[in-house]
Amino acid sequence: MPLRGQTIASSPPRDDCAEISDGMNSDQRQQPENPCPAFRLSIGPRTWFWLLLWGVTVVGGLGYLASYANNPGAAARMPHAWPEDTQLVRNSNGPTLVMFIHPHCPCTRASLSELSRTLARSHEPVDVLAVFIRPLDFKSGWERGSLWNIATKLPGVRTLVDPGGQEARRFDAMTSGQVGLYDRHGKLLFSGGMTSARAHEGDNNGSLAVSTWLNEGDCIVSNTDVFGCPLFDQTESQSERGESCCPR
Amino acid sequence: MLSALRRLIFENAPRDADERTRAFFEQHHRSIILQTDYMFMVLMAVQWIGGILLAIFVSPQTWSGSIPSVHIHVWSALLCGGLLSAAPIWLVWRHPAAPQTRYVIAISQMLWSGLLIHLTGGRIETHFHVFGSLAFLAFYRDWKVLVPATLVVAADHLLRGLYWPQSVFGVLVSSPWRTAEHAAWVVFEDVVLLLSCRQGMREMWSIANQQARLERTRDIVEQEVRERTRELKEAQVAALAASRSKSEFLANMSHEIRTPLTAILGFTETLSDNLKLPENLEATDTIKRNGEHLLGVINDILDLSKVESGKMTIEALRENPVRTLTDVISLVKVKADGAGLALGFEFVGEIPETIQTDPTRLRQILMNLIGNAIKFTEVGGVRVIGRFVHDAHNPYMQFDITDTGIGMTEEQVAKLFQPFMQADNSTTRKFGGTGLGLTISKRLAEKLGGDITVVDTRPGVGTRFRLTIGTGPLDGVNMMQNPMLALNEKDQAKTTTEEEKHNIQGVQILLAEDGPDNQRLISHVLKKAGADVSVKENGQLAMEAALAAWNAGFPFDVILMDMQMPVMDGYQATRSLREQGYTGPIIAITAHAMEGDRQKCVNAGCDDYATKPVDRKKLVATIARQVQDSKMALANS
Repeated sequence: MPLRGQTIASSPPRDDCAEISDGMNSDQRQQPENPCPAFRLSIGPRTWFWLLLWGVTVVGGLGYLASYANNPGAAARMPHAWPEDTQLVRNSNGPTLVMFIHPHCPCTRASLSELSRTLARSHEPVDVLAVFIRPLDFKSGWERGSLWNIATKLPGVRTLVDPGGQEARRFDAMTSGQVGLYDRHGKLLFSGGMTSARAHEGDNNGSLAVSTWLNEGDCIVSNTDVFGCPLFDQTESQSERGESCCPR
Repeated sequence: MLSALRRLIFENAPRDADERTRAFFEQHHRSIILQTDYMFMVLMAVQWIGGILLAIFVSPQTWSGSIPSVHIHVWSALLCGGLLSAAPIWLVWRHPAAPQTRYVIAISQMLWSGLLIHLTGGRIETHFHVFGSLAFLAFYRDWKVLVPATLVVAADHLLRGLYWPQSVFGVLVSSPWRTAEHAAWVVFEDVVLLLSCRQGMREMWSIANQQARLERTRDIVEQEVRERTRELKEAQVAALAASRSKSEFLANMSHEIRTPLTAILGFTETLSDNLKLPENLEATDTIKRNGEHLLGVINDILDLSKVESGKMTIEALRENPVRTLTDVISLVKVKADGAGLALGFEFVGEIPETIQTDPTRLRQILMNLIGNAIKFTEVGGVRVIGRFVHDAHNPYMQFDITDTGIGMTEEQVAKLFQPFMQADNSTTRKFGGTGLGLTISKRLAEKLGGDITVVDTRPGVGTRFRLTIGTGPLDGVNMMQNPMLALNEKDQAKTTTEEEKHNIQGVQILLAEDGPDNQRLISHVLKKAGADVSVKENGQLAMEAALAAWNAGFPFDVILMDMQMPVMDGYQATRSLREQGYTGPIIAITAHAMEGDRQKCVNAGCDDYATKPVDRKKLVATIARQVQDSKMALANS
């Protein structure tokens, strides 16, 4: 590729910053007082302007991306007691964790990873219900994607399909990755997400809270933000909740 | 203290680094920077394409209930990643090796780490991109590049800590030690890389220093070579001048000695014809013999000079080797008879009727070898045996000259063919000679495609020399079974013809010669042969006389033109005659015997050439031949 300034002479020129030897012998060459290295080039003000613009744009773009990643989905007001009308079966001998999942939400992959880590760290056995929402206008099997496969491989996790999102509505879950931890009496211990940002694995308050609840039976954190795709169409969920604006 | 630390870490240039060392260092550093720039340019493109593929693979769509849409990660990889890569690629293209280029590359590369970490959902493995990128940036061997890269990481952590603390440490409120730990790892790598840069720079300075020293040495050597070349050129010019002087000297010596010798030898012979008393005849014979010796010495010196200067040219004529040897034997036989020695020769086996060689030089060699054999033999005799050796690729004639003379020791043989060397100094005193004969003969034999070697020699017993000469191509050449018999038959027929040829009775000759002695001598010789001679002192008079006779319808049969004359020399006179349509034969006579003189005379318009001292028989024969040729040409026209 012909690139400007791409000349590497076998011996550096002696007369000035020129990169091509003038063919004179060493005696004929004039020795400079201050040879200026050819690679100390200056960049003009126009270039600086474009670089500045580039920097601002890049920082803005990455900032927007970070803002999006850290913008949680709609918070659930999960019932404090296990709903009576739910079809989901709670463990009466131990805690039950229920996670509502949009089968194709890419952010929820991180939630499942965190769930996996949390379960691995848990001293007490816990029943985990992974509830996959399937809108009614999708055929059966639509929910069986990569997230379904991950969930089924997790030990102690039962995967369930929630056609039309009936169970999610009973638990007021609005965002994929929403977790509810109930004790053996059906009392809500923790509600929220298990990631610190959208699709972002790593330490987070939600995982820490669930882990603490399971291992120590108590935790000051009982609620965290949920980062994931909306489980329902925006208009549908807003009208159900009487909201009229975007998720916070 | 601080300045010492700064120098220890950041400054790598040796204090005594000179300008050239710095230039070499900067050139090397520049090449490394360029190389790294281009690597990053490629990496930027790869990262962009990789980022897009990653986003499409991991999170192609986002969902809102049952409604899918393109995931923001795909747009981010496409647009944000494109922007991130575009600036470094553009800068490398437009400003390769510029410091700003690599700083922007550093910033962009670290931002790419952030983007990739984001696209992969914060996977811990992707964080290695940060450390890998820092290491890659260290390829620049410029610690300053690590500064903007580290600042980007720091700024990222700072901003995220301010606005989204959970995105860095996973919790809303983290321990300050977590922050310190994050920073410590980056600083640790920075320190490692900084030390690596420093080490690399030191090595580059060392290399630059060696290159500069090498260059200085090369400059000195080049200077030395230029100096020596100049001296050699001067010496060459001087040698050429000396060579020219030598040639001119030889030419002049030849002319100046031969001219009086012509008179001395000629008049000695003339005088001998008129003397009757034995003591007078002995005196003229002594004069003649010494004059001929002097002439021989001059000829030897001229020959050696020509051979050594590479100016000796060899003719390639068809010649009968038997005749050549027979002629030489007949010439030296008188000498052998005088010394009371038996001189015999024979040919063994088939002999080619003719071979391709230079007859004059072959005679000269044989004369020298056989003459030497006679000279160094007191009792016994000399025998010459000629044979043809049929080598498939290089056939040659071989002459073995065996004598029963004084012989030689090995030491004497070793220096035998060196110029001016005889067996020892006493040889010169006892037997005479210049010591040039064998040297010249050996060089001539080599020129004729052969050699001269001493086959056998024993002090007090005798010596056998062997002469070989190439025969050249022999296609269609008759092989003589009994060469001596065949030669005798031909000789009888030829002698009659030659005698007829050498008749110049009544031939009109114009002699142009400035030297009174030579005028008298040559006139005497020619008149004695029956010719009518008119003498002119210079070229101008000769030209006028020749033209006058030509125009009157009674031209001279031949003009003998001395080439060195006052008023108008022979060259100019001959040229003028030819220019004015004179077609009669002109024979040049010159005391110059150097190579090229003959050609010079022919170029001027002469038909033939004779050298001084004038050989009577040769001169008469040459005139007779020219007159004969002229008559035949006239008759044909």
